Formats: sequence, structure tokens, C-alpha cells
Amino acid sequence: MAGGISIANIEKAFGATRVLSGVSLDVREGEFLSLVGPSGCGKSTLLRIIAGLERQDAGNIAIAGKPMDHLLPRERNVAMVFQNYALYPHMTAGENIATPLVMSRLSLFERLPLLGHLSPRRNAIAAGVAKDVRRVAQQLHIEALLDRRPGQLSGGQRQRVALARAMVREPAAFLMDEPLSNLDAKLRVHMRDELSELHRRLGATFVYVTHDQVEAMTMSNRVALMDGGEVLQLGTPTELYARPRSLKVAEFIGSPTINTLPVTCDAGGGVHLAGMRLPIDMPLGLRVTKLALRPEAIKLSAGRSAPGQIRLSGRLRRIEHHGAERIGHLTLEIPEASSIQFRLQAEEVGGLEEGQAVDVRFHPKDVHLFDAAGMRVEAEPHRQAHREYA
Amino acid sequence: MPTALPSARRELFSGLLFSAPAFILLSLIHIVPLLTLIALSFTDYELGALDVRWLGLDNFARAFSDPVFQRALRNTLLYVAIVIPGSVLLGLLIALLVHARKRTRSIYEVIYFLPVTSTLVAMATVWQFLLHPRLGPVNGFLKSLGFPEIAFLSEPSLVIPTLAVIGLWQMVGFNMILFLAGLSTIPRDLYDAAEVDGAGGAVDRFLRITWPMLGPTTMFVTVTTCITAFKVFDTVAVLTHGRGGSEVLLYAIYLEGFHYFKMGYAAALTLVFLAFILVFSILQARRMDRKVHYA
Repeated sequence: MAGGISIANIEKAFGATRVLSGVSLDVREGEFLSLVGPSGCGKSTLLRIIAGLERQDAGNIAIAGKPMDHLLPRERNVAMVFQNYALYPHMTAGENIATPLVMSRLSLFERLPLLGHLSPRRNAIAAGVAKDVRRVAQQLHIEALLDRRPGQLSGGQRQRVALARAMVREPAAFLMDEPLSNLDAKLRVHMRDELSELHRRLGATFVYVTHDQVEAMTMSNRVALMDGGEVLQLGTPTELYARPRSLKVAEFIGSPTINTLPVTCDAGGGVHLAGMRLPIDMPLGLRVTKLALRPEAIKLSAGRSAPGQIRLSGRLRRIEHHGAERIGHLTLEIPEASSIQFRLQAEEVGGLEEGQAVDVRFHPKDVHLFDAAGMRVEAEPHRQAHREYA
Repeated sequence: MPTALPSARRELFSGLLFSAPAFILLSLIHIVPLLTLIALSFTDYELGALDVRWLGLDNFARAFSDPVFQRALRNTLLYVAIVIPGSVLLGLLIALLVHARKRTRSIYEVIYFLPVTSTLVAMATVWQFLLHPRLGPVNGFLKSLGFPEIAFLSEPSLVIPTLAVIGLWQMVGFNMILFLAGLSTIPRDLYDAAEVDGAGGAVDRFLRITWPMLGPTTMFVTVTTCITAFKVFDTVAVLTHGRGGSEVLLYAIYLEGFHYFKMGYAAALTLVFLAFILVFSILQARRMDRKVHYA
């Protein structure tokens, strides 16, 4: 792991509040890894520990194979982009971008106002810094903004200046703490694209903290979903979406949220939903209590259901418009389950009315099953395939 | 039959009506007294005098050839020259130190702020005792180190610096509180960013973030300190009574106006005093405004 970050058994508590309990994670070199989770899950604290802004109570951080635990932030060769950009408001954009270079290339004496100009090599270094600042500014298309102060820039422009300040000294890793959360929705989508593009071009390691699962899913090579100071699951966006390891992961990833229905298990391993025996079998000894279904796994059932599919009926409470698709809200005739959501294509909606009784169906292979502790349980594939649903 | 006023005129009328209370109060409290002062300064009015003579600019001409007034002016400028940089820099230094404390911060705040809340007239008595040539502990300490006895409050070359130190003692706490307020508005993120950018050392943090971010506070502190310093009066009145050539502007005005009852002359001196404060404040604000960054 040349430029990767290895995070081992990190523990952190603020007073009596435990923020991180034994987090281990390997970020591969050149990878875009997102730390995603609800607020207070410890993701920002973990990022600050990687940066060296916070000291862990236990555990180790290594970047590019070198232990970082006793190094100051500036010695770790990482750059950070902050949620509100943390641009120095009294400096121009150009001076902001130049700061990391000025700090590393000039001595303390040379950095002093007035006195520093006495140094003979100062002008040569300053010219080199200016050149590097211009080069990075060109890459981010902000050359025209270099003389402005942060207060005169828009949110997106400030974002770019903050990125340029991070890029200018070519760090081993970029640490980003919710950098897009202060932008408006449209700009956020645009910057998502630009960040992905930037990552591809630089080939550097990115660790990206966000509470927005859409950001994590769209940009990352891998996503680490955190909650309660632990990593619940680490995997590619596809893995997290298709095979969530726990109900919490399943519920956090995906929009609209995954539907959950209560199920029971009989002694023979059969699974029942509202008194209906499902064409799914559990390995003996495993019991499931929750069934989860992505909204796109549920289809309107027109007429006869296809063999092997499961059918539910209910009342269409509401149809939500999302442009090309609609989200249907269905109140089920199952006592414990209030409502499920499912995706509809625009052309399917014709003739449907809110309040109407409809049937929906889903395929047993799309079902996610979870036990009482909320952990994923795999149904037995061969038994499930052979049984015919009556 | 009464016709409705045209709407523009009606608006003007109600506008005047609404602004009248503020205008009348301002006039009574600030504008009329100031105009009276200006008028008095051109006369030889004495308190209780029956006739008043118009002197034109004579009072002002006399002021600038009056050795007492000239001394008072020099003393005040010296006092201001010590107190402004002293109390601004010391206030900033103490604020930085106190800001870094966590649990003990409020204790230090109270200690440094105490002189601000105390009455300077009362505290001056304490200073008089402390600095007494024979009885005071300060001289006791100096003598124990082998220095000769120093008459801080009667030696002409020392009296103004001594009064300035007392002024500093009283003003530093207030400036510290203002700087502390300024410090707490600097976003923590900036220090984090500086840490990552390599500007995490104490000198860099101060020069690159703290000092520029405190610009507006520093300007406010400097201007208020300047005004307070120009108004020095109570220490002089209590400790020296102007002896040993220690008159300051306000004390000179007080003597002319309330001891010798030369109201006309005192009014002229007051105008000069006001002009000084005004000019100094404007110059300082102007000069610093160019360098200060407002968020």
C-alpha cells in the first residue's frame, strides 16, 4: 500500500462520549473512499484523526506505510477540504492557495512581514510559488479569481479555491469533510461530477466524509458505512446496495428507503409474511424477523401473477412525481406493516388513481432477510429454486 | 370643505412627525449644548458675570500662548502616547494568554477586569500609598534592591509616565475583554486549515490568522482607548492636583472653568480638546481601515 492509508483499531472518546470504538479500515492507494453515516456516527472525527487534527485514544494510522501517530498534521503530507472551506478571509484566493507552499518553502524568518524580504532567495521562491498557484488555478478554471477575496466569491468558486489550496502541494491523500454540503442542489450535482473527474485525473487517494448516501454512492470506489462509532460495512457501492450486511445499512443506502416487512419463521425453516408462506427457505436453526425490499423490486401486478412471484394487495395512498418515474405509496392490508413505496414508470401510471386498490408483486430473489439482531441472513438458494409457489 | 393633502406632502408631514421626538431629544441633549459651548468660546463670560464681551478668536489665541495650556497639551499627548500602544498590546497579549486557558479562564477574566469596575478615584488612594516615597511598598522594594528612593508622583519627569501606568492598569482589563470577544469569533476551522497547511506554529498562527482576523477589534479598541486616554482627569485630580507641572487637558479646563470661573476661556479649551479627540480618532480609523479586513 504505497500511498494508501491504513487505519487500525482507532478508539476515541470525548469525555464520557465514545465516538469511535475500534475502527479498522484500509484505504487503497488512488482510491476514492467515502465515509458515510448519519450525523454523530464518528466519520468526521475519524477524518480529523487521519489528518492529525485530533489525537486517537488508541490505535494506529499509517499513510503510505509510514506510521503517522506522532506526526503533526503538516508532516503527514495530507490536504484537507473543510465543510465551510475554511478559506483565510483576509487573503486573496491566490494567497490562500499559496499558503501551503509558502509555509513549506520559506523559512520562518523569510515568512515574516517586511523582514522576510531581506532574504536573497525569497524572490526566487515567491516566483516559483506563484507559478505553481497559477498552474493549479488553471486546472480548476479559477485564474480570473486569484485576486479576489473569499467574501467576493460564490459558494462554488470558494469550493474550487479550497480544492486548489489542497491540490497545490500534491499531497499523498486528500481528506474531504462534507465539502459539498454548503452548495445548492444543482451545484452539488455538478461538483460531484467535477470531484470524480479530478480524482480520476490526479490518481490520488481521496477520503471523503459525507452524510449523503447519494454522494457516497455516485463518486466512490468503495464506501464505508459508519454508525455508532463503528464501520457497519465496507464495500463497493454495488455491494452495499445489493447485499447490505445489516438492516441499518439497507435502510441507510438507497432512496426512497428500502421497504421492511415483518416476517415469521416456522420450525421447518419456512418464512411467513402475514400468514402467507413465502417460497423462501431458511437453513435450519436460522430465524429471520424482517424482510426488506427495494422500491424497484416491487412491480404493479396487472392481472395474473407470474409463477414464483409473491403478490401483495393494498390501497394506493399517494403517487409522488419524480419526472420520468413516480413513487407509489401503498398502504398494505397487513396489520403490522403500514406502508411500502415502489417505483412506477410514467406510462404505468395511466388510469391509476390515489385511493384505488391495487396488487403488487415481487420476486423472492430480490428479497433481503434479516434476523432479530438486524444482520443479513442468506436464504438457501437451491431449495428456494425448486419449490413452486402455490 | 377640507381637501385631502397630496400624498407626497402627507408623507413628508408624517415623516417629520415621526422623526420629531428623536430630533428634539438629540437637539436638547447634544446639539444645543454644543452650540452654546461654541458661542461661549468667543466671549469672556464668567460665571455670575453681568455683562459679556464678544472676543472673537482671542480665547483661542490666548490658549496657544498660555504656558499652562501648552504644558497640559504636551502632558496629555505623552500620556496618550504611552497608554494607547501599552493598553492595546498588553490587552491583546493578556487576551491571548487567557483565551488559551480552559478551566481557569473565567477567574483570570474577573481578575483582569476588576480595575475596570473599581472607581479610579478610590483606587488612586491605594496607588498613592503604593507609590509613596517613604511608606510605599514599591519604593521599599526598590530600596531593598539598592536603588535610591523615587518620588513617582512629584518628580516632574516621572509624574506623567506614572499616571500613564495607572491608566494602563485600569484600561487593560477592558481591552482584554474586547479582544477575547474578538478571539472567540475566529472560526476554529481556520486554525485547523492552518494546521494542515503547515501554519500551525504559534508565530504563524498569530501572524497569518489571529492578528488579521482581529483587525476590526483592534481598530475599535484603539479608537476607544484613544478617547479614554485623552479624557484622563481623575488620577491627576486626586494624586497630583496638577502639581509638578502635571496638568492635563481636562484638568486645565476644570481649573479655568470651575476654579477661576472663566467659562468663556474654558469653553474655548474644551473645543480644542474635542477637536483633538476628533482628529485623532478619524486619523486612526482612516489609517487602519485600509488595512483591516471585515468579514
